Amino acid sequence: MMTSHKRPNKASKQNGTMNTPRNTNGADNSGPLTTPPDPSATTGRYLVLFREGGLERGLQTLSERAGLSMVRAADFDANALSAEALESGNVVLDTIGVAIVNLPPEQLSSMGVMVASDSEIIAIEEEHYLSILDAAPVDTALTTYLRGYQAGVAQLVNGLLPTGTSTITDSVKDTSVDESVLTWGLQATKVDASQYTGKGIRVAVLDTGFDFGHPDFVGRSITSQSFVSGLTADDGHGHGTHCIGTSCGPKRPGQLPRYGIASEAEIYVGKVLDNSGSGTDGSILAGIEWAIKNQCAVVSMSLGAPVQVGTPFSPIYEEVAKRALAAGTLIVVAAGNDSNRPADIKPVSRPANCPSILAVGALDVDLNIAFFSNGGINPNGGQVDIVGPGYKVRSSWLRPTLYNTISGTSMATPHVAGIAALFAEANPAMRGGSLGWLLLQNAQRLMAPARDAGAGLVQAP
Amino acid sequence: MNRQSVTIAVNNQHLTRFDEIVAASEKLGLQVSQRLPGIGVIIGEIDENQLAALRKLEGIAGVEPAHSFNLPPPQSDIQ
Repeated sequence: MMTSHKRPNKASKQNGTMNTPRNTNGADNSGPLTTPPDPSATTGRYLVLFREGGLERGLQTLSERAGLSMVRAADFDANALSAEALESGNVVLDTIGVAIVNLPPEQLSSMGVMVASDSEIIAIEEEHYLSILDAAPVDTALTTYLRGYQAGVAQLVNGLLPTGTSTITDSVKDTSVDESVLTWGLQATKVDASQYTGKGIRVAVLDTGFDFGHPDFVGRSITSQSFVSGLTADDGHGHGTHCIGTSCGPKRPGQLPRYGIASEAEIYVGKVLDNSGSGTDGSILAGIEWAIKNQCAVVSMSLGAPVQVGTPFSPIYEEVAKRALAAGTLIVVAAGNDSNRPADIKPVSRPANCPSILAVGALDVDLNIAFFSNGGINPNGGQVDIVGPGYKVRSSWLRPTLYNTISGTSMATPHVAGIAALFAEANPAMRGGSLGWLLLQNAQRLMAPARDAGAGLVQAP
Repeated sequence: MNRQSVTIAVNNQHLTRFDEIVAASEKLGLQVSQRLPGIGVIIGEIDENQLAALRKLEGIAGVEPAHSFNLPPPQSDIQ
């Protein structure tokens, strides 16, 4: 993390300003440093990170135990610490909760200053040097030509070969994936390596409901509501149970492999689709309202309606999504399965096509865009924002079947929702748009075009 | 008379007067099926020839025809 800062050049001590040093050949001082410090070199000082709200007590500890007297940025106008203070002394940057000290950590700990996630001081790092980056090499005309030629050939080849597309009946590929312990989707999104479980986070799945008697969910916190008149929230289709399984399934299911992500999340089941899988704007919006009212950090919707090229997004869904974000609820929706790549790419479905909604596309086992996954071909909204595993995804299903393996952007979406719950748990202050930002920033960027992959493959914290 | 299912959004400035907007819409003949004050949305049915008047009501940000959504059957490979 960028908590270190450049140490002012020694020359500045003499006249109190930041001079650019002269080049060794004695030319004028407008050039860069000729010998920039090695980026891995450390200054010999240490950065101390204080817990939020722990600054004063932390400083008191440093003063009592280690005898450190600190110069504080807060004592300067607009917290602008002087270069002299920065260079010479032990200083405190009050607003960001960081101190820079001349005492090594071993001395600090021998004086009884504790560094732990629950103490006032939560981290200590060496202070490093930083430098400007090397300039990019100048592109000659030949290089440009060759690069263009290369891109053209690649495009031609990709268009002719069927590689990069998957077919559901292609069983040869499947045997290379080891799903004895974890589904391939959980492996690809690094869920198993995450310490987070979505504990304390409410995840709403608006779909066909849930099979409440499924043995893998005994003891889970489940709240439900039906928005389909005449029906309870019981799942009579399977789709809802599958999506809840992927987003919130257990760490230790009755049968391996593990298929679920936020294993301790509080599940909110909103039945907005009937048992044939049909629903209306009314039931879906009512489900969204309920989820927001119940402070769900994430709403997962594996549903949509195809749109035509040129169709704009719904201003109403967009406004609702904005209100949800403002209230701390992030809505993730399937991008749709209408495409048949490579020949036929259909636009992102509604309501996923709203800019304030995270639209989720699907990847296959080889991390290529799944052949059915829609693309961001409509201008003004209609983008794919992120992708998740959406090919032959195993998850829970209605009893007595218990488990089922199906494909779709419907399956990719709860991967994103479950991982959003993990990020929400890890970052209590990040909700709504900032939670969405965490998902996008931590996604694994792919070679596939952003039109199809957005920010890339979602990754667990 | 053709009745149309509609989704209505109340604009941000009028969210606190949601009930008033519902009442005004009902006066135009809207049969309300869903009141969602938390997100500022009203769902209902209204005569087609009243749509223009509904759109012009103070506090209404937008009126759209209500859509439906459909999943493939449970035995489908791709859902």
